[in-house]
Amino acid sequence: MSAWSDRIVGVFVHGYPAHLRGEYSSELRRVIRDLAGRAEYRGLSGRVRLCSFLLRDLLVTLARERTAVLPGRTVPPCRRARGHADPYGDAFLAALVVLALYVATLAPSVAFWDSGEYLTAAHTLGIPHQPGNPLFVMLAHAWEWLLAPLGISAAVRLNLFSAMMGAAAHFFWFLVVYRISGLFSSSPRVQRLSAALAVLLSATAFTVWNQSNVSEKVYSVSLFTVALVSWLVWRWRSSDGSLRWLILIAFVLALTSANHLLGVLVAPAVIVYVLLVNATVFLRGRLWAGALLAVALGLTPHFFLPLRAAQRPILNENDLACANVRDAALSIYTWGRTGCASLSDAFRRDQYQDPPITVDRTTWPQLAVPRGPRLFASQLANYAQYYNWQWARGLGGSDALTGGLRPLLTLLFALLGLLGARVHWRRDRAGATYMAVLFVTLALGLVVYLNFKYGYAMHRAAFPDPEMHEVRERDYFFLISFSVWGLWAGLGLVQLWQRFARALTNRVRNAQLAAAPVLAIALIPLGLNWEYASRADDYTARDWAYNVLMSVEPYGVLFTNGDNDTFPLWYLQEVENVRRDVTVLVTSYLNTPWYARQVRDLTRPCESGQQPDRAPTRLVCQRAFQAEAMPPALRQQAARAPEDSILPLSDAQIDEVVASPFVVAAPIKFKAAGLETTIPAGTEMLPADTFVATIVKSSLGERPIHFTTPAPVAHKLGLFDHTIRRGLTFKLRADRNDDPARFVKLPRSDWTEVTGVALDLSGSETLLTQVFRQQGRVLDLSKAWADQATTNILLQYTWLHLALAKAYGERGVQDKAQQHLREGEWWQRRAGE
Amino acid sequence: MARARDIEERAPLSTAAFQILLALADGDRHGYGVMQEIEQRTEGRVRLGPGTLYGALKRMLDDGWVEELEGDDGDERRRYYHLTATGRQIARQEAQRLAELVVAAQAKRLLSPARSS
Repeated sequence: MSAWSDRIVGVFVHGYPAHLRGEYSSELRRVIRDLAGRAEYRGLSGRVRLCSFLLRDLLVTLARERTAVLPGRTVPPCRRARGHADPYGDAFLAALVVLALYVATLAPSVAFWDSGEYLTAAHTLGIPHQPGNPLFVMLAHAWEWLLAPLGISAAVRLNLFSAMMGAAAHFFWFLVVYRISGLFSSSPRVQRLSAALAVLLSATAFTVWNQSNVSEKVYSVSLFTVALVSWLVWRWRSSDGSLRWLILIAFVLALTSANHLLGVLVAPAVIVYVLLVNATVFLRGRLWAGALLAVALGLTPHFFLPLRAAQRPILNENDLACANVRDAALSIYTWGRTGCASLSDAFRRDQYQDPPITVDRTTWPQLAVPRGPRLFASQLANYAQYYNWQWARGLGGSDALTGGLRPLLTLLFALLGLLGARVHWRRDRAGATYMAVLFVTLALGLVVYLNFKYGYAMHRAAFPDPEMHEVRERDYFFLISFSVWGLWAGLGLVQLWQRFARALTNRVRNAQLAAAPVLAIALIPLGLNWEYASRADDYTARDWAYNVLMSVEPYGVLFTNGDNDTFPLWYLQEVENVRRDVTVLVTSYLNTPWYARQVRDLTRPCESGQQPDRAPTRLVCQRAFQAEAMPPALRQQAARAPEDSILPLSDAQIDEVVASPFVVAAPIKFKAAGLETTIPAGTEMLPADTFVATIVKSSLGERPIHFTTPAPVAHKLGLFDHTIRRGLTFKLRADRNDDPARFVKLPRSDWTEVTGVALDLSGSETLLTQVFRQQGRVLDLSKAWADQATTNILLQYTWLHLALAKAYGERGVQDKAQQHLREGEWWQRRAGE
Repeated sequence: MARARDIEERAPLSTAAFQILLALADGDRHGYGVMQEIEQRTEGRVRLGPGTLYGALKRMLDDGWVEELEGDDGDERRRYYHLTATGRQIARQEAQRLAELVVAAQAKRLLSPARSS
């Protein structure tokens, strides 16, 4: 093509109406070039004839397009502009199908990790860990209240909230993909198919699914707001630049920040998209004024945190109460730069003491080593591991890292996503850029920002120290990136189908039907993720919490270690009202003054007129043991209401302990009730250790004191040798002269750490046979156990059976010993050991 | 499938629209291919310009008369167009309408009956 022709082509194409030019620019150019290449239009006279022909066409087209009448029509058609008529009904139907899937695989109760905390927070209008997630708490609480007439359990209602959010996200994804696919195909049928397949692949991506059938995290709400914002930007583009859509986006972004900042990460994609489509809109003052007001309004849910904290809810992490509304507002609207100290800490997430992203987290905070390429490569590989879970988790499911042939299917869906991205890019560069920025931000961007330690299952041989690894798998942080990729993969699959159909056009009668089997690829994640993503019939965490709480004697104090031996117990106490008399203490939280104060106040004897049952969501005073609610085997336990708080310290004394960690210079004799031990020199006494020692000293003999296993604080204070296993807990012995009929000293072995040094034989046997509950999928060895990081909970049953086997062995009851060994081995197999 | 009323509302079709439908009746074509087919079949009597062609195609796409297929011709990427069942029915209806006009014209001796060879 000569330069002359290029210029001519450009001039003519530019003359055509904008809407034709926008959609057919490259086609118009190509046709004009093809015409210019004809022999009849060569030479000077040919060029003149071509220009004349094109000029006539241009004028006719301009006139015709202005009236928008199809040639030959006498009446303008009712235009069904492609991509402009949103199929709300179809999107609703798609969301209903997604909801049905999530309901079919819904968790029937509490799950491990943060589920217990969030269920408790939502049910009691409490405040979970930083950042406090006020939007989630309020929405989930309202949702639970709305569903109350259905008569289903609170846990199911709250898990349904997550399912509803996941389904609602896919309502908007359907609309978004319908619009995108309108760029490839004018057929509404193909557009619907594209949207449906994209939604199917997104909704059944492993992590999206697994996080949408339980309220374990708040990310289904983030997914919802990201999908909503994505639909709003598409609406903005098709609305001829109306500012109201952008202002609404600003509002949603501010609102979602009150759920979790993950949802705000759609912002870079929105900004890039607006710059590409119409950058000048950012110069409009009305936009900034409107957005400022929208953001101010959208941030208001954060006020829930100080207002509710001031009411002393039973779950009140970090005690975010502020002296006045002004300070709270300063914290909220400066994002923690000034104002109320505790609330500002929450905004800055000071609790986590994260290192800068340039520092290696595996050795932090002991060392500030630069984050090297090896760790970064491992973090990228960790993302790849999670990506590899998304499309066929059940293939080689027990192998969390690669999974046999799973990478082949992962490659297939990666390629489908690339195909979808490619055709999207070719038809709509701004839209494709939006999706790409969204994906990169929520995949690579998060890998860089989160700066994880080595993945839970990665490099175990090279780095055996558990401290160098994440405590659990972190795929949930990336679920939106998996969802976005699923959308592109759906588009890619439709493209693949159409290409096959084209290839078959001259060979079969109905090529599209003949090529349709390729669409079955969309069902692969549904089929191969089901077993691992489903939480149906999983009562393990609830039963575990029940069994632990029942192992504690009336008015007992239970020291716990982390998420899985704490949050399910909170759920059972605060949502199901089981064993509220037990004081569950997260040992690590005792390093903070707010928790120590709450513990002190929660265990204070009730004064005249105080009735904690009348305000079950608030921290009032010691809650009563309810013998009538206990299983028959435990109803006869002696229960005497305590007369003192477990922590007889003033606020000032608590602050002093928190501010004064120390190292033991000379061995300290520690005495409590009938117990005497020594804390060796060189022991680093953190505030939590001092508080535990204080609680033991003040309460031993007054209240039963238990530890969940393992019990590092009991070892640190030299208390472990004074414990006796009772069911799933270790109870601190107040008196060495325990009933010898119940007390069996266990022989020392490599297993002593997990079995304990002694066993309450009859008590444990009673608990195991008459009290403990086990139901659901955990009992079926053929069902996969998806989360390897929780198998240590299953092993607790192994250790209990092992302790019983040893005790019966000591007593010479070999058949019982063998029976417990077999049962212990069964739990070991269940844990995959 | 298009309803009879929809088809009636669209009649009569313009020459350009009907020619495009005819060009696609026996196979999928890209834009320039449509232009070429029309020119060859009409021996150059009907020659659509690019604006006329794509203006009409766009409306046909909007109305579901034709649908777009992804073409991949080496580096030269073209959009191919496929006549949908609705489009085919519209074209058939228009052909029928024109055939009835021809019969009427013959009855009025404005047109000689076609001779079989």
